[in-house]
Amino acid sequence: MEKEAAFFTLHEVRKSFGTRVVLDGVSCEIERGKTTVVLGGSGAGKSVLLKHLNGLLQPDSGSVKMEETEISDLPESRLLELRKRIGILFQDGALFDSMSVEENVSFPLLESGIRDRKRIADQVERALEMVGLSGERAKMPGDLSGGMRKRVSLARAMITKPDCLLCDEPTAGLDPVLSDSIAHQIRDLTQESDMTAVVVTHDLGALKIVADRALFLQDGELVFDGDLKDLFSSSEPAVVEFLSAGGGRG
Amino acid sequence: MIAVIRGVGRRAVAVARYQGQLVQLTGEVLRSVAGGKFRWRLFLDQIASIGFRSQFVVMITGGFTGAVFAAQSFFKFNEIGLASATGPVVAVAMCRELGPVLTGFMIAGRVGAAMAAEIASMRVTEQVDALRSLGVAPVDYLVVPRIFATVVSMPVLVAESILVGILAADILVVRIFDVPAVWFRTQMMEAVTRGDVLTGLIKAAVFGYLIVMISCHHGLRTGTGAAGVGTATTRAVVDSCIAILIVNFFLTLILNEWLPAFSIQF
Repeated sequence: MEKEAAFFTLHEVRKSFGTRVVLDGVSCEIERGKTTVVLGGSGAGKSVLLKHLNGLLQPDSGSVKMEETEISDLPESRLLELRKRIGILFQDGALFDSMSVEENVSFPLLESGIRDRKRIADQVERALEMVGLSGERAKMPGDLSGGMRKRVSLARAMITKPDCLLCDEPTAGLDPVLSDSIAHQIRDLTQESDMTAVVVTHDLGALKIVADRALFLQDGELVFDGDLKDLFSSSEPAVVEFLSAGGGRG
Repeated sequence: MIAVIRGVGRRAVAVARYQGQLVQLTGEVLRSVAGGKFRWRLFLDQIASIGFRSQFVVMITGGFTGAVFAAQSFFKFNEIGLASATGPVVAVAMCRELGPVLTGFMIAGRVGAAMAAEIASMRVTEQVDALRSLGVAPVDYLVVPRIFATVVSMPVLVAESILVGILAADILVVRIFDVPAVWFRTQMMEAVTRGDVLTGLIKAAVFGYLIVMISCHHGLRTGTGAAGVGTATTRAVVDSCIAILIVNFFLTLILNEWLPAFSIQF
């Protein structure tokens, strides 16, 4: 069977902040229609890698391609257009403090030029139902728990039906029940629409629920790239140590 | 000696870099304006927040500045029998310097600090990245509406400050110090020209622009955590006040050259 073209292709990506090297020559492909989990200890460069995928960060050297488009040297104006195809769930939700839940979720629709109030209200209702928060539309972000904020953020990321979903530590700081619930919601949403997803986590529970493939970063270097089955049978010392320690337990 | 030269050089580079960043931000603002997408709702929200809600502070500032300046001027002029000169001196000073500069300071403290803190905390909590991820340029959304709202609001606020200052001076000098109202008001009207008022209003718009640019710049380039937000807020206020003082000097020289054509009495 012919291999489908990758959604993202990274080649020798390097990134430093000051003297600290965060990504050191990372090369990999993110397969279309699959969920790839990026694993690694704290400070391994996982979130920095994720932010390179939608151009929030630009590499010092190397290339990042989204489909056939080289995005590592695109101007911000072009990137803004490309990013509309990518939903992102930030670690703490990154909801706009000055807006209610409803306004946060409807924001991407308004920005995409939709002005039909009924259509917006219907889509917001569906998105909030999807994450189990349809009764919370009038609340402000400050009134929500950490888990609820992440679910609202997920609804906001998914409302425009993007081609790709990026999730930065979606289960960090949540109890195991809520972690499983968020992980299942991500799994269901991406499977329903055959969406490409990249999930950064160090939660083994979430990994088992969402992952088709896994990447493992250690000190900015990619030390594993393969299927989930291969991950658990890997003899790479960093991977073995991570898995045997329970992956940081989220 | 080398260490001193190195220190001075480093500081000079930092100042040049800071100015370069402000120029870059100005370029982004101009590009955004040229792009033609104007966010009216945000603009009106900012008018309410910056203009409407700053009126009380600005009127208190103007009122007491006018009254104190009138009192001090009266005490000195009265010693040499020139009490009626108090009106012109207070009015011209309020229009040309005290109104715009002190209102600028108050707006830098009230509005500039709030802008820097809000944008800095948005940056620290990844809300600015969230905007970019949703295809929205932060400059379009956060900076441009604030610039227009402040540049529109500041001349109105300064006009209010000047009026209240002159009114306070009038009450003090005429009612309390018993200077005949006709002397005070006639001489004041003869001395104040359209150029004086225009100078104050032009300065107000320029100071408003400076406050927003400096405050938004510090907000958008904040460091991490709560400390970063605090530093950004403090620097926004201090830098805005310094910029107002320096630019005020040059504006005074330039506008004195340009505006004699407006030396027409009311």
